[in-house]
Amino acid sequence: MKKFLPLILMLFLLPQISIAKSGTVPPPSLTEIICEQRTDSKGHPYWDCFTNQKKKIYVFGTEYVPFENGRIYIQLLSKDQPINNALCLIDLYYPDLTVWFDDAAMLYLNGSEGLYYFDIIIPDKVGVYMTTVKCFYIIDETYDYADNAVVINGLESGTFQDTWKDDNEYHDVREKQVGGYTLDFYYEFYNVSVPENYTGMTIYWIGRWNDPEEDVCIYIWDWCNSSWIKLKNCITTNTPMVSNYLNTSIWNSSCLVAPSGTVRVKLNDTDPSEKSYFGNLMTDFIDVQMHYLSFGAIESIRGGGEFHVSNPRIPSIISEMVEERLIYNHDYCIDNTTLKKEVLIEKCYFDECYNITRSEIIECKWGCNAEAGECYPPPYERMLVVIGIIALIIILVFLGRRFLW
Amino acid sequence: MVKGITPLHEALFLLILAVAFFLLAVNLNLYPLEKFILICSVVLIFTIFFASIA
Repeated sequence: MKKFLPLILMLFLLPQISIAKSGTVPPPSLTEIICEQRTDSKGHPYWDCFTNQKKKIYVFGTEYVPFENGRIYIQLLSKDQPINNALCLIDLYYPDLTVWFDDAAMLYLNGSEGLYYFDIIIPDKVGVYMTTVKCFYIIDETYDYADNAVVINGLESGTFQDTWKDDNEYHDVREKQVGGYTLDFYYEFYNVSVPENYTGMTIYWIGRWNDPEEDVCIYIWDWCNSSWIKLKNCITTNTPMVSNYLNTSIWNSSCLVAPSGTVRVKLNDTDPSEKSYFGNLMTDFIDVQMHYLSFGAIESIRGGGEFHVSNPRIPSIISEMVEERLIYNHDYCIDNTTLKKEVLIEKCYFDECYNITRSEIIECKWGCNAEAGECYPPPYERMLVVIGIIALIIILVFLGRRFLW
Repeated sequence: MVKGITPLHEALFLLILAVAFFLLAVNLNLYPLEKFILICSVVLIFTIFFASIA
């Protein structure tokens, strides 16, 4: 007993030590519109379009490099007074003249003087992106938020309640292996009512999708034909926000809204056979907006503009003059079997700097170690390490016993 | 007992050893159960060692 006194004393002292752990809007007949190209105070070109009734729309873009966060915004004025109750729809074209967005509703900047915006992540296609915007006013809307989420294929974290606010709290659904990696789920919106003087419906989505191999498309349930209808604008890795406007002249509201008031919106990946990347759809905000004409006749105005995407001015011959600095390197476990690696690098060429974010999701076969932020090695490797260390200590103790004492 | 080394010294030595091996186990990326086995084994080996030289 006396011989094991050190062990008993150690067991008494052990709890005294604590190790700190780090946790973790139908186009009406148009009046005459005049457009003039102007430049703003910073030299950026924009189209100044107005009618003989002194209605104006300013469309702003700028110069971008690929993967930058981009924002297209407009200011809507009538007789030099801002219009804050409008529905503005944007069309956006790639440099190769294919359509990127078709009639995507812009968001009104709360409290602003007639500002409406649309966010994008600049794609790696360089060239001139043309855009047109048309606004209808005075339009009001009702807002309905998700009341339920039904996941058919996918691994869910968070709840539908996380989609009620644009607050970086996400309802996260990750692709599930069903043959290929696939994702298929829908939101239900209850008690949606069709207002008087209804003009159309918009489905807004804000969030992130991280699989560059495929897109996620938005569908709405057709209650007349009991089938899903694919909407025009899909979610890509370059779309932090996507909206689809369903004009009443084309879309029958009684087929989109059930007699009980339910609207179903589905999100589904475009390639269910894809098996190269586990895509993760993070929905920050989704709502269904029912637009209605609130005051007199509908007014409209249209305008256009462009933004330009070019490669960073870094000639390869002097690429060594580029200063690269690691700002942020963070590996963490999303769940028990998934590791996310994030790297933020700042690249500077003379006084021009830009940030590049790279993130990668790794499936950990043997589990994810949340403490260390890495995947566990295979069991045999771990046991080999444990046995090896124990054997080494036994040998050392044996040698010590033989030659020292 | 080795001359000059008291049971308190031995207990402190075992405690330091346990903490050191715990930190090593964290860096080795082991499951909690494996960490436990490693630490217990080391402490046990040294306990037997001290007992044998007493």
